[in-house]
Amino acid sequence: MSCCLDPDPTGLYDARTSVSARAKVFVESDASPTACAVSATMNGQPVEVTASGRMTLSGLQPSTNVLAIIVVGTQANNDIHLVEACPDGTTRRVKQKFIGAAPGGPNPLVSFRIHAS
Amino acid sequence: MPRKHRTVAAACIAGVLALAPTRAAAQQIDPRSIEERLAFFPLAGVVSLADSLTRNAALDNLVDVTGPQSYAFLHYALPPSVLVNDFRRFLQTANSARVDQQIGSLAGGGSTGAASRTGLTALLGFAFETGAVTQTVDQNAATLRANADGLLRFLSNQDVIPPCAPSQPDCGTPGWLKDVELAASFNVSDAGQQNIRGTTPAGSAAGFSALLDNRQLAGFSVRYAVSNPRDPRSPQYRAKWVAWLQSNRSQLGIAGDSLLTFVKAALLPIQQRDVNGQLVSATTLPDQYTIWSADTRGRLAKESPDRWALVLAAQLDDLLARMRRLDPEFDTKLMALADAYMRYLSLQRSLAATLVTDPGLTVDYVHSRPTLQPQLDTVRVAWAYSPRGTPGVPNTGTITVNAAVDRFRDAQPDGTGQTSRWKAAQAAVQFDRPLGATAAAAQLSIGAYVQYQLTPGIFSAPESATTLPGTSIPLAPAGRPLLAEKGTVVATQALLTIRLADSGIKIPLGVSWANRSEFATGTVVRGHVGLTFDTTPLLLVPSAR
Repeated sequence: MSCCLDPDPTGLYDARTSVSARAKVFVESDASPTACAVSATMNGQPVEVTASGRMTLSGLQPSTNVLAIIVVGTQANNDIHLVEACPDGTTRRVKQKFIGAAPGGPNPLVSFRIHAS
Repeated sequence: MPRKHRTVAAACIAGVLALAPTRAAAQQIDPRSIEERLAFFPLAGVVSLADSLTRNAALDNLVDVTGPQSYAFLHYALPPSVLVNDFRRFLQTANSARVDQQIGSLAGGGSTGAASRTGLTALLGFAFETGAVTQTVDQNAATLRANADGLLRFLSNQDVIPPCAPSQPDCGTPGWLKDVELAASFNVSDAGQQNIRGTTPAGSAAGFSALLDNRQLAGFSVRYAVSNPRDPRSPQYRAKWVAWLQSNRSQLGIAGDSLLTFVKAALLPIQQRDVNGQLVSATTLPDQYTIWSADTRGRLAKESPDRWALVLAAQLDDLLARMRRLDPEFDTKLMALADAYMRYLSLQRSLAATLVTDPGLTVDYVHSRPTLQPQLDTVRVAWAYSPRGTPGVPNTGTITVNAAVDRFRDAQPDGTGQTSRWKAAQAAVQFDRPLGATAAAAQLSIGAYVQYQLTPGIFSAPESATTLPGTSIPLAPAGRPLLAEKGTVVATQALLTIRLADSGIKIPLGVSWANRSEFATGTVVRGHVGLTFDTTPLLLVPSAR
C-alpha cells in the first residue's frame, strides 16, 4: 500500500490527499534531532499525539484541512519536516518548513495545510 | 443629571472601559515603523539567499502567518503595549523562582547572612536587616543596591528588561554594565550599652563601657558578575531551556492543547471560508487564506528585495482586514492568542528555570567602616551551583560558596610590636531552596561561616566611654587602639525567608550561633529579622517601564 500524502505541485497547499485517506505522520528536523510534536489539532479538533510524537490523520474534509502542531525541542530557523509513516514501513518527507521566532526562543506552532479531494 | 448620579455614571463608564481590552485597543494607531512591526519575520535571512529555489522556499515560509510566522503576525498586528505586557508576564514566572539573589548586605563579619549569594538585582534593591552574625557591636543595617545597566536604562527612559525581536540583536544583549552592581549600607539604629575589654598594644588590660548610637555609612561595595547565566537577560539562560524541554513533554502537551484552542479561534476561520464567507468543505472553493498566500508570494517574487518589507506590510494589512470582515471578534481573539502564547512560553521558562544548574561567579569589593574599628577593605569571590537532580524532577536548591580576605585600610598593631594590614580570611557556604514548589512562598537557607583572624581585632574607645561597671579594669584611653583576643570565629545560621509573590518583598527570619564574636569570647546566639525589596518583579508588571 502506498503513502497517502503527496506534495502539492501547485504550491498552494502543503500536501494533497483524498478525503478517505488515513495517514500516520510525525515531524522531524535535521537541525534539531530532539524535535517532537506534543500536541496537535486537525481543523481545530484534537489529534492524539503518541509518546513518540506520531499522529494519525483521518476524517478529512473536502478542500482545505489545517493540521496545527505544537513542537518542542527546536530553535528558531530550524528546519521542520512533515513526514508520513507509510503503511509499507517506509517514511516520506512531505513538506519542509522553518521554525519561526517568538520572544526568548522558537515559535512552538507549526501548521500544515492539506488539500483533500 | 444630579452630581451624584453623574459621578456614578462616570465611574461605571470608566470601569467598563478599564475592563474591556477591546478591538479599539487592538486597532489603535500603531506608532511603530514598518521595520519594527515586521521584526519577527525572517526578512533579512530570505533576502540574503542567492539561490532562487531556496529563496522561493524561504518566501513560502515567510508568508506562512498561520504557521511558523504566527507569532511574527501577532507582533505585526497587535499594539506594542499588549506584546510588551505579555512578555513581562512571561519573565515574571522565571524571576519568582530564583533563590540566588543577594539584596541585603554582603556577607562578612558585619553581615546578617552567612554567605553572599551571586544573583544581582536588575535595577534597585533595598534591605533592612538586624542581627549581624559575628560582630560584637550589632546595629541594624539598611542597604541600597543598584544595577549599573538597569539604572542607566531607567534614567534614560529605556526598558530595563527589554522585549526584543530576533532582528534586533543589540536590543537583547545588555552590555557588561548589567553585571556590575553598586551598594551602600548604613547603620540605622543604636547598638545600646556595650562593655568591651581588650589589651593595649603594650599588653596591659584595658576596657570600657559606652552607649553607642552612631548612625553612619557602614560601607559600600562594588560587585561584578564574572559569570551570570541565571540572569534572565543572559543568552546562556535562554539557550538552556531549549535543551531541557524534552523531559517535560506531558506538561507542555497540556499547555499546547490550550494554545491550539486560541489558534483555532483566531487563525482557523480565514482558512476554512471562501471568498463568499462559506465553508470550503461545502463549496470546495479555495479558502481566503490560500488565495491571499498565493497572491502574497507572487507579489514578493515580482518585487526587488528592498521593497519586500513594504509589500509584506501591505499584504498583512489586507489579510487583517479580511480576517476582521470574517469575524467581528477577530481582534479580541488575536489578543487572547497573544496571551495564550505567553502562558505557553511562561510554562516553558518556568519548567526550565528549575533545572538551570549553571554555576554563577561574582567578585566583590567591600569598603567597611565598622563602629569603633579601623576602616576595612574586603575582596570576596562567590560561586553558586545547583546540584543536578533526578531527570525530570526539579532541583531548585542552590549551594553558594564564598572565600574572602579582609585588609585594614591603614596598618594596625598586631600584638607583637609590629604592624600589619591583614586582618582575616573568611570562608562560607550556604544552601538555599524553596520549601516546596519552585515558586513556593517560603525559602530555607542554611549556612556556615568561618573567619580566621590573622591579627587581633582592633577597636578604640569613644570619648563618652566609662570604666567597665563592677571591675577594676583600667579605662581605655579614647581613640587609642585596643587589641581583642585573637581566635577563629565559627558561625552557623538558619533562615526562613517568606516570599510575597511577585511583589519583590521578602522577609528573612532566622537564628545564628557563633563560638565567639569578633572582640569577645563566649558563644553568641542571635535572632535575625529583615525586610528586602527587589524592584525586578515590578519591572515585569504590565505597563511598567
